[in-house]
Amino acid sequence: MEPNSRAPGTSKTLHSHGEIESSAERVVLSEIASDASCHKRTYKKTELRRAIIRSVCHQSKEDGAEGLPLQPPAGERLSEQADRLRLGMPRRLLMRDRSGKASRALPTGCESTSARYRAELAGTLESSSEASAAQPAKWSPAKSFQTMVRHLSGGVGARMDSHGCNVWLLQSDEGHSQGTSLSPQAVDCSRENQSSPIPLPSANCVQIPAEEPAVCPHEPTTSDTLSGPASERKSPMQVDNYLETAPGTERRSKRIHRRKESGDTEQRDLFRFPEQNPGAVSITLGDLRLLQPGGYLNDNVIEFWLKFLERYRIPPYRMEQLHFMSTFFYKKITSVPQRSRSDASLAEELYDYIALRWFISRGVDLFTKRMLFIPIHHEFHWSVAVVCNLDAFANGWHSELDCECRHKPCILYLDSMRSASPGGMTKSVRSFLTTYARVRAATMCSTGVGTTRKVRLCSAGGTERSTGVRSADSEFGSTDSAGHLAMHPQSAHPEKMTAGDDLRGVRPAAAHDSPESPLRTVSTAGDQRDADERSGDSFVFDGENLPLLKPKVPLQENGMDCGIYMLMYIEHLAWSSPESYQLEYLNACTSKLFAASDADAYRLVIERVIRGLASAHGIENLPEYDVEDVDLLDAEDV
Amino acid sequence: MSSETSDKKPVVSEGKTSGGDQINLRVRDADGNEVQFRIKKHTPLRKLMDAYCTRKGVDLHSYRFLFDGNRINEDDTPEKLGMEDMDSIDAMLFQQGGW
Repeated sequence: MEPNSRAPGTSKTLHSHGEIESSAERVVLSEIASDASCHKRTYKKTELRRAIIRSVCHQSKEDGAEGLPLQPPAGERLSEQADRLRLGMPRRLLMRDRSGKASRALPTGCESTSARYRAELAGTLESSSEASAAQPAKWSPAKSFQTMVRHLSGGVGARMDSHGCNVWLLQSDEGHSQGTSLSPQAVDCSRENQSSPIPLPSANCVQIPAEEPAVCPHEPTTSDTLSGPASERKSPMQVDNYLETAPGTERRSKRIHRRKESGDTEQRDLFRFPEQNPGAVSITLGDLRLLQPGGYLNDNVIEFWLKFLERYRIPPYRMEQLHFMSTFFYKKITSVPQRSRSDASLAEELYDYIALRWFISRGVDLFTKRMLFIPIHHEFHWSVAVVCNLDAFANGWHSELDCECRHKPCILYLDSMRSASPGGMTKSVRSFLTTYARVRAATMCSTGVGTTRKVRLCSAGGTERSTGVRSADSEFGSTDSAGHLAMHPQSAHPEKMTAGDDLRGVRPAAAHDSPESPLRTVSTAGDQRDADERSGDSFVFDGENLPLLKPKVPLQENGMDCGIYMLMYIEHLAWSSPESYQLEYLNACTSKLFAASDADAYRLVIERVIRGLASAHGIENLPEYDVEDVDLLDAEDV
Repeated sequence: MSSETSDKKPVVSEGKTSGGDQINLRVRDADGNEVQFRIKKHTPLRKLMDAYCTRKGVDLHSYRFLFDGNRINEDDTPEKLGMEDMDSIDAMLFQQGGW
């Protein structure tokens, strides 16, 4: 999507992103570029890492041998905290720097990953009426820090003022935290805060001493109040629990549990992200350790980072077209072997269930997404499958008619080991999508048209069909979500259809206007899938023919970075939607996305973000793992 | 298991009907094996996770529990997540990979 073709209502949203990027990017990027990148070839990994740390932290440039002051004294100044938090924020620091070089000319449309982004950013800054964003020269750590804290800590801007954990961070920025509250958060609030409102204590009654270590074991007899912050030592998660729960017995039980857990340092919860949301990921101290060089990433880190990308690193207008699947999605859809016919029906049942409960009932419409990222964990190896251009189906794409269409739906498989895709991967994904399309059509049909139609659908479809329809009905018959879903494809971005897509102009609305005609034609047909596809949405989904493409990607040079590589693929692809899905074009786009050494920087970025978020939650004394210390056991017994 | 005794322990119950305040939840692992738990709607699901992991003989943090694809946190309650009787929870082993 070109920057100037975005929806008119997104400028505010863009601005909020641009604020982060401009502040973090301009300072850090230049330093990185001048220091780490030019020495990259000669540094070893650990040296590179140190170089990055050194160059990122301009304060400790002189005493670079000591590394980054990661455990500041208790009375640390806000600006120093800002620096540390900022360290987590430079996005795509090395990658952007590299891909921006003239020598790395890529085909238009993918080289523009960075160039286009800059253009977008510039456009954002220009369009923004607030002058504060367009002040790279006057960038101040404290200001940037406050901005980031608003972004980082919690994801719900409105709650921050009353949220005890963040009060001390925002003390000097009270006006900003309300005045410039951010569009993405506002969107998130409306979408995700469906849980019952939780009574919060007023801000001034909760004070978290930032200097208090949180690891200490708690006395079982400590009082239940938070009145004496210095007398008790609480982990921030405890405080969160206080805030979350109504006064009563549950509070006590949680405290006991937390106390028990805090003894186990490796499993100690640092924070949840996104806070207060269902499905939040709990990051533990052990997860942080995995981000040291050589660590194997686990699902916590992957999922955390995907959620972080979704909320903070990828602008909402682009995120609308993307969807990150859970890391367990692939495990789930492959949990049923598809060897025999009975297996197939089992899988069908399972896919029905997943389609309904994981996606449709949550208002996620996969067929409005341009890219669907499916993290794959298979035999201790991370890779990612990307289902591209599913939205083309909903927009009327037909393989027979649009073979020249450049936005061809396909599955990309990106693997940093360039191994064969796991057996059954494509089959599972394809048949899931087929099932999903069927359930989606049935759901939309049942809710959008009416009962008579639903019954006819059942009789036309047979027994297997009826299960899906019935469950769809029971799920959505009385809720608004289905109506919202039915409306969704129509409200999908019209601008994205204009590019290369030869569209037939058959919109979902048309299907609902004349609901009878497609059913008549297919009600007696034996081809069930055909019936399903046409009945609901009047688009044909041919999941079994989704081609599998394996573009060339940068490959890992060691035995531990596949998780990092996977995340880098995801972020890069999320930023660049290739303009063509010919394999040669994709190869040209993806083979030079980044260099192997960028993985270390990316690892560092994730670590910084986690440390920054932990700091925003009041956890200050995270152990620093010495890069050159082989014996990590000593380092973590702090 | 925490030390409070007011809440009823989650018990494996086959075929028991749930009362007003209790619901039955099925925990299903990736192989399709199911264990059914009866739990109060206001009890934090940590209790269920504890019980499940104890039955499996594994550490609590070895499993991630998903409800409709969303992770369940320890202090979530069935009521908070809008669980209904006989809903199923996915117990997925943690994933880690590097090479």
